[in-house]
Amino acid sequence: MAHSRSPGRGSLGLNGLGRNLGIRRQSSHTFPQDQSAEPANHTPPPAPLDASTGSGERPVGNMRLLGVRHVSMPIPTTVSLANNNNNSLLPRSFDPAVPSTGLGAAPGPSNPPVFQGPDLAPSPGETPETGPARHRFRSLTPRSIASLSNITKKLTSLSPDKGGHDSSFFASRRRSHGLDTGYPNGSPPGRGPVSNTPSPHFRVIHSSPEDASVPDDDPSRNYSASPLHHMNSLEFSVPSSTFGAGHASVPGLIPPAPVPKDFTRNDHSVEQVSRALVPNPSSTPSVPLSAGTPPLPAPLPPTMAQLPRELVYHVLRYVESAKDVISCSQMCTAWRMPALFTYRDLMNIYPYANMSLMRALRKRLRKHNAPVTMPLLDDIIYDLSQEYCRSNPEFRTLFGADNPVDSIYPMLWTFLFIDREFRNPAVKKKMSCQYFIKLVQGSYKHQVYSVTTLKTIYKDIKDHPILDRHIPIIPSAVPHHQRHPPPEPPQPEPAEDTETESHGTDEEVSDLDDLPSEIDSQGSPLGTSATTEDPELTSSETTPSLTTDEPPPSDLSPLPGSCTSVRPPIAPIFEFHHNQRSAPFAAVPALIDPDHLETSEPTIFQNINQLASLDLNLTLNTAFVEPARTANRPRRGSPRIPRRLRRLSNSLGLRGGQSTLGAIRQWWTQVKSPEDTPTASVAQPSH
Amino acid sequence: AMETVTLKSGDEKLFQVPRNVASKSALISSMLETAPNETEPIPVKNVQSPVLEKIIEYCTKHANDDPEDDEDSDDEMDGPLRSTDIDPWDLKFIDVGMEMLYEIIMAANYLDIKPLLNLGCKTVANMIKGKTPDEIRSRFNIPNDFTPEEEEQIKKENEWAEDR
Repeated sequence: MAHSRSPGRGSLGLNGLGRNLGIRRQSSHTFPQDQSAEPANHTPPPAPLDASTGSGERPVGNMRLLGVRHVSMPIPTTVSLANNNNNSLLPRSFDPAVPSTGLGAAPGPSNPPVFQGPDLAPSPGETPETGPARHRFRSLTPRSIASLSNITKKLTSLSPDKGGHDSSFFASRRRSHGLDTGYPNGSPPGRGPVSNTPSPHFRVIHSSPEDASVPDDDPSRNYSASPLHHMNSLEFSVPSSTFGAGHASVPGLIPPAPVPKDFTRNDHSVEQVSRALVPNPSSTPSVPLSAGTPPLPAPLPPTMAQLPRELVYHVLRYVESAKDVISCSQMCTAWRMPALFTYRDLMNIYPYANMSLMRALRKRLRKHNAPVTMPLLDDIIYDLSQEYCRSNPEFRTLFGADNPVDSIYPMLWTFLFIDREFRNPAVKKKMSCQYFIKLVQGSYKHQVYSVTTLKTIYKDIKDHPILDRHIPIIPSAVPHHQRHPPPEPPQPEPAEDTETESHGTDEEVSDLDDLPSEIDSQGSPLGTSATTEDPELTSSETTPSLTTDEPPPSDLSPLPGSCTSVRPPIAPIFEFHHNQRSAPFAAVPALIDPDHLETSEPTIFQNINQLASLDLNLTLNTAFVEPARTANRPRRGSPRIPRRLRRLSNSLGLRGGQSTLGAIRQWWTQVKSPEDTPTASVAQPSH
Repeated sequence: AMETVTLKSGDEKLFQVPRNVASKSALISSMLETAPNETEPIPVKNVQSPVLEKIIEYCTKHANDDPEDDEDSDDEMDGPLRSTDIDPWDLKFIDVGMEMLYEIIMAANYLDIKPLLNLGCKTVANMIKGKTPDEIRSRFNIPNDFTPEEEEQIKKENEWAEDR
């Protein structure tokens, strides 16, 4: 028995072998179990093997350093090698039908496979022939060790391109954890087992000075002769490139690199060592390779997958679109985690990035569980429009010079209205898909949405309610017909308030001549909707305030200018709708939340309410109302706007379209601001 | 006379550059501060001569730039940065092969030349934009190292992101 072999050669060979055998996960604690399972199969320790194979009795220098327990232990022989004679390369345990022969016992109920584990199972794509050697060995017997020596020979002589590579399973795992160089035998070719060049890898394994001083065959080294111990310890040894920063963080893709002639590990920092692994395209390999080394494959050029993680993050910061970040996460393992983290950050900042408008709308409304009032809903929609435009910078280009917020805002309302129409049983004739497409496409200069997209949206709204139970809707606390002052007011009302109230009412009555009486007669259409959605709210609503002793809220109107929390009720918006087509919009809650506003002037509320209606109606006008009115009769000239709306908008100096919406918002802000005189900013219809 | 410093690339080539050009690198700048009278060539072991040449070209061009112009990339993530605002000269400068781009980014990171690092990262980001994972892979010559199971899982995870 000769131990003249160079230490580096043996360590590397065994390291690779141990990996290829897949015994990495086997720890010494499994041995007693093996013994108890098969005490009769104990065999004496194997004879030392051929020294040239590197798997003999050689002690391993770094065992102590690596914390391996040095306990001499009989080698378990529970499961034999696969029967190579009948060319069955699968382990016995994979084929229960094969009876046990020789030393090996087929695993069964009484003989469970010892080293069974998910790691030992072949990957689905692996055939027994191409699969790694680890699949063939379940345990070691003298016979198996003899075969093992042959395999060791084979492995040490394998050229890098001839296989012998770690299984893709382990390799990918180690690669993803930065624990593998990705090379056969754990080191780049050229620094492999047959090379005499001292490599950092070698130095890590035999780094103990005491061990180095003791000859390999010194009997004072009381190590077990078991090759398993070699492999256990060697499996714990980590290639030095693992410690490198930068390139080594993606070690699986490090191309084979020449090692400088005078290279020693102590001469360089870890970073420099890892850097040295990256080939310089302009330089030629200067390392004299030992004779017999197969020709090296051409060094691969560095790829972006080798960028250090912090630089990947830096690159991803310039990738503005969430979709592109997602693409990066699917590119390779090295980029996956940085991309996912970047995506998370991006979604925190831009919650609606890479989302369709419908999805964004649903997401936003789902987030809001509190009862929604009309201005609140309007604010939500407006904020959503802004957020959506901010989250999707590319959306800006769709609208060109137009303000995308002004374009998205009515679009979102349109979706909401059509949703209400579908859910309102009072509407007999629902809007058709063709009509919807015509409507939306006609409203925008640029054809933002294709017909297919609009069809999808239409179907989506039809099938899945947007405003569902996730958003409790505050129904009209006092229906319109109950808002009239009671015949016998329980308390005197301020004259001004009454005047304002009655004025609005008169106007409504005068304007609602052609209003179908069904709305008033059946109460609030909103109530109809609420009945289907929330019984509790409906019950509170259907309690007529007139029948109770409690005066209706309108009677509690404060004096003008006083800032109390009691607010007059606001007319629901459905009052302003004049035809059957407008009925679905009545389902949209029309209350204005008094607490939502900063001023408490009843007239302001009155007018804000009007404005809210106007806002809606003008939005609708471009979308539904006007086309619906002209659907029955051919339209001539300018679009016809309902009389009341027309008067209001005229008095505001407004015209239809998106600019109207902007003006309304501006006007609304003025109304809401406390320093403005409420009556001054209220535009009364001109008679 | 203009003060110069000598840089020694990884392949032992010497480059004599004006001091203000070399000071574009924060690494070299701090080295020069600690040893102002050092006459020995400054070793830049991690950078090979072709890359160093390119970097010196960039630093020479931008030697007189106001360092305040460089956007601070150290702050927390407060939104994606613009990758389109690249100077035409820089655009031409960075129009190099993928390997050189990689080397420039690595060297700019090593030498701590922020504007150059940003330029490289912007260029990579622009290559990524609007591409599918497969396209990016082939552009960067990156092998797909996901296992089929992982790919399946990724696909499932991100299905919702593709509904736009």
